[in-house]
Amino acid sequence: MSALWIALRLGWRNLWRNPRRSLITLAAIAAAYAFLIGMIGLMEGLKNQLLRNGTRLQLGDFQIHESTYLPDRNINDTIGADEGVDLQAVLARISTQPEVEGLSARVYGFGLLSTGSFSSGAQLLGVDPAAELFVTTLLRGLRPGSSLPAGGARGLILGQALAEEIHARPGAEVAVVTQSADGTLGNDLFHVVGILRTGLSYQDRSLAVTHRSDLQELLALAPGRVHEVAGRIRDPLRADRVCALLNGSGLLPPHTKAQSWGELSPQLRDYVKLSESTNGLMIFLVALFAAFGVLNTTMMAVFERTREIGMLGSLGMRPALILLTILLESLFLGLLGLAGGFGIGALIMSYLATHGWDLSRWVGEVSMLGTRMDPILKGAWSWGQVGWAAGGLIAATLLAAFLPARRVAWMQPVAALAAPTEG
Amino acid sequence: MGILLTIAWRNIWRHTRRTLLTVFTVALGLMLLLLSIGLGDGGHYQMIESSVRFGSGHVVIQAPGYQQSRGVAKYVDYGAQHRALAWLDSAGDRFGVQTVLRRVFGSGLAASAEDSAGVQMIGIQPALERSVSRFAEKLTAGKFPESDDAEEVVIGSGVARRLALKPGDKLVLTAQEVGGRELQSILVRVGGIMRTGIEEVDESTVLLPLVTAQRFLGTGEGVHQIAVLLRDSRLAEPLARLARERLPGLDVLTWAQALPELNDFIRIDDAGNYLFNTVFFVLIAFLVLNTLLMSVLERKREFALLDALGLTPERRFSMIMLEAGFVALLSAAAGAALGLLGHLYFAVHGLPIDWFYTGEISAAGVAFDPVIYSNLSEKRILGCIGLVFVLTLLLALVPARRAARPADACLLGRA
Amino acid sequence: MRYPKSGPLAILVLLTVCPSLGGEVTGGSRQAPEIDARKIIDRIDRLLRGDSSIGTMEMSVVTSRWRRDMTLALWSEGTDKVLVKVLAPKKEAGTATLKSGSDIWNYLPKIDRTIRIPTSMMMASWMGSHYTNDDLVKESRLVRDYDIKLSFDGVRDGQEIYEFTLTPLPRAPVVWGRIITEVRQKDLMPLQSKYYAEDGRLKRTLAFSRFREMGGRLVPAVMHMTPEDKPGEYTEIRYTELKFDVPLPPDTFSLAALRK
Repeated sequence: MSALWIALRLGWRNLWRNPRRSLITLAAIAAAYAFLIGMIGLMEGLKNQLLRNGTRLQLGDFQIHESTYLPDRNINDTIGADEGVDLQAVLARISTQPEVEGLSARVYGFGLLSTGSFSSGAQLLGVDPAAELFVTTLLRGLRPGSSLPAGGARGLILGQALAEEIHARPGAEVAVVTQSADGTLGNDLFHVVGILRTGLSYQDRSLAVTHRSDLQELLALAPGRVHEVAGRIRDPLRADRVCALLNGSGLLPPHTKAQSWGELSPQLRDYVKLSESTNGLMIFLVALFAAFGVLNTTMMAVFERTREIGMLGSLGMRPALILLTILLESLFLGLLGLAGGFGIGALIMSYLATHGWDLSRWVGEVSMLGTRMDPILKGAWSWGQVGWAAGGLIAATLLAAFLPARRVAWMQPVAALAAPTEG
Repeated sequence: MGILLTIAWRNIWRHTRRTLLTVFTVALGLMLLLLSIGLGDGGHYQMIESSVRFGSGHVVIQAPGYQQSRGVAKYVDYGAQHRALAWLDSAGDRFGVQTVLRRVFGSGLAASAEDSAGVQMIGIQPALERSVSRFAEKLTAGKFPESDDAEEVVIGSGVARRLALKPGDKLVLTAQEVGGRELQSILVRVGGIMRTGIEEVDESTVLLPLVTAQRFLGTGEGVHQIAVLLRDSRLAEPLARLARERLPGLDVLTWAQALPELNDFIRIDDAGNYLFNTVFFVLIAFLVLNTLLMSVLERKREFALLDALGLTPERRFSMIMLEAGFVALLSAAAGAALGLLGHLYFAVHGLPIDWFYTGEISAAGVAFDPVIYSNLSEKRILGCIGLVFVLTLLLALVPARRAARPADACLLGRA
Repeated sequence: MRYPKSGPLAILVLLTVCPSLGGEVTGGSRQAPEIDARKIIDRIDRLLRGDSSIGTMEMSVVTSRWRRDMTLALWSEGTDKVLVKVLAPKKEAGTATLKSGSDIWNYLPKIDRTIRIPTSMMMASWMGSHYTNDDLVKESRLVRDYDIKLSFDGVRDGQEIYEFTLTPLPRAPVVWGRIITEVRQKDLMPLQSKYYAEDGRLKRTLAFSRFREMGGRLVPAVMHMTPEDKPGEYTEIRYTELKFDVPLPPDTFSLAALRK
């Protein structure tokens, strides 16, 4: 026990015997760690952004459907089948799940939009604008000043390419014709209240959004009949868990199923996984490199102290104890370096998390995987990766100390003492 | 000067371990940098090559206004085509033109006994396209048509599914021909089924032989697009510029203009890579500085001695700079060697990224290739090496200045 | 749900597909023992060419989810001009569809608008009926597109019938592999047509009944279409009035006429 105590005290004091060297080594460790933290933050932020863009545009973190609805999307397969449900009650029940932050009930249809001689097919989406804003950013893509009016007003928001195709501008009148749930030809006049630019060519070419009650009327669906409830949760990465909880909880109407974004869009899930993997790989490479740097610095430090170490030996200190002392020294150095690096890193991260890195210089609007990319990259924290990076660097430091120290500690004191100072 | 060189060289080998470790660290950094750039660029080029071979080109020539509003009547007539093709023939070698493809586009209805669906039709030259475009690679059943006027088509997997079709089955295509009053219908047979991984393409595309499509859509000899495939995509811009001068009355677009989503994706990916490389670079810089500084500070006694022996501050400065220069050279050489070896390996074998994902992923309308091949241009390689070299030298200035400081004589007395 | 197709063309084509709506074949006269299948069908085709017609009919569509009954008025001229108006139910009365050449227009009385249907939108059925695009978009000329052979001559179900097998000519733009039509020998009225895909699967059956004289011709007043893969579903058309070769004013097939 007392040997350990000696080693500890000696180790600590040794650090400060040569402050400059210690500080330089410390700086290397701190810098490496700070960079790693910054890098991890940005990578994680990028991945989160991708995910958020994927889910927050239209998909949502999860969706609930009648079990027969997908994949054919038959207009009659509403939640609660032909009778529908008490929407208020159903939404209220689902919201009792603590992680759910927003719910939006939606109606889908397919129809023909026409401004007289220009017509085009379109995907019709009926939402409750207030609720939808809690789940997706779809309606936020509108040019400022426009919004969906209340039900009954039959306002229509068109994807930009679609609007161009049928030569419709805000204020224009558009006839919407569709096959209703009762087999009749649903038709009515809507007027364009906004143009949507999601940045995704498929969406912009075919999406037309209106108020849910207006679409229900067009489709001859009762107000309690909706096709989908889309939801947002606090942490999108927990979507699978939350869906499992919802499905087992009895909070959902009978014959319905909740599915996470990963189940609904395997492409998105794959991309997130790909992102995580390549991020991980890149971080690993940088960490490896950083470790080498630390190795370099620390190893040098130990080699150069061969004489000093030899002196300890000649004073009668046992090699094992010498080794321990040096290791502890390195450990202290490493921990101090990590602490410093963490401090700087945290500062960098807090800036990145709030202001982000504006990439708009390089990119305009980008679509990836059916999602639109925000040009401002915000950092995000990942304790797991930060922890691993720390571990890696400490390991490097200790290894860097261990290898030379082992050799030197077992050297004959005489030989050690004779070693040149500049090893 | 010669003596300084010798001294500097010997100096670095006196501190063998330190030198080697530093060289190795920097070399490792350089290697990773080269690999990251190589694979990043390689990935992008692959995406470009993929996309342009799916119904586009490195440079595309179209009728004015066609890109914005694709009416079937906006075709490039025979005369204009002839001019364009002749010019491309003459300018071809200079720009490394690999193939020139002609295509016709239209939309209409496809019907089978099972069902019917709206489709996008592309009239292609099967023999040419088969060898250069990627449609042929993506065949999952059947085969490509043989001739330009065959009556076989290739359909996307989604079309096959919706209309319950297999190779050999009947398919009736209906469209409104140019200026026609009646709708035209033709019978074709499914020659092949393709699966590109891009949902939009698979769900609604039908490839027809060019002449068949021209007859069907009524464009006569006209085509909607002349697509030029180059050996090197970087020559697209210069070719397009020249083409615009020589072929007035036609729209000439580079792939970046014809496929803006792809262009954006590459830019954002590039941005991500720059990010990575910059951070990496700064890290390398820091570590190098760290090492150099440390070494100089350890050698205070040595410098005091040299000073006493008459080595002027300028000379001491130069010595350190030369040392740093040698270290930089060695690191650059080692790093370049390692980097190039890695690059060559990945250029041939590629980096498989398909353990990361199942199925297909598409971004910006292109399906990801499961294997990325490294692609480094001389410019990039030299750039990296040069940067690292210059960086090391610049960083060496700090410790070099330190060394040039007037020495503390009492150091001489120390052991 | 796909956007509905214009139905009147269906009716027009039904008239075409049904090989006996024409006619010199009236009441009971048996033809010569050696019958010329092509001639029978050709005669029918020719009789409809250049014809004009006016008629009213009722259409019932039964699907697994709903049932609709409508009353329609129809005008046609030649094979490329058709106008159909919904007379009942009240909710949809006034809805009209005009096909002229390759353009198709719909008039919707509720919003008082006329819209053009793009080619690529002409999918699935009109008003949810069971007619396909093949029927609606272009008119099939049986003689032109099919090789017609007599495949059975004898008694079936107590009636003397001819059975014709229509095989598409190699380049004919039709989706079917084969159509088999049964025709009553005594008056050459069609009894049923069965449509097969190329692999031999039966896809739909068209049955004709209630033969009576209309507009000076013997016609089947009821046509009943049954899809093979949707049990319980069908579309039935019952003619209540039909006149042939009535001169039609020139603006019958104009956009303005749609709205009246």
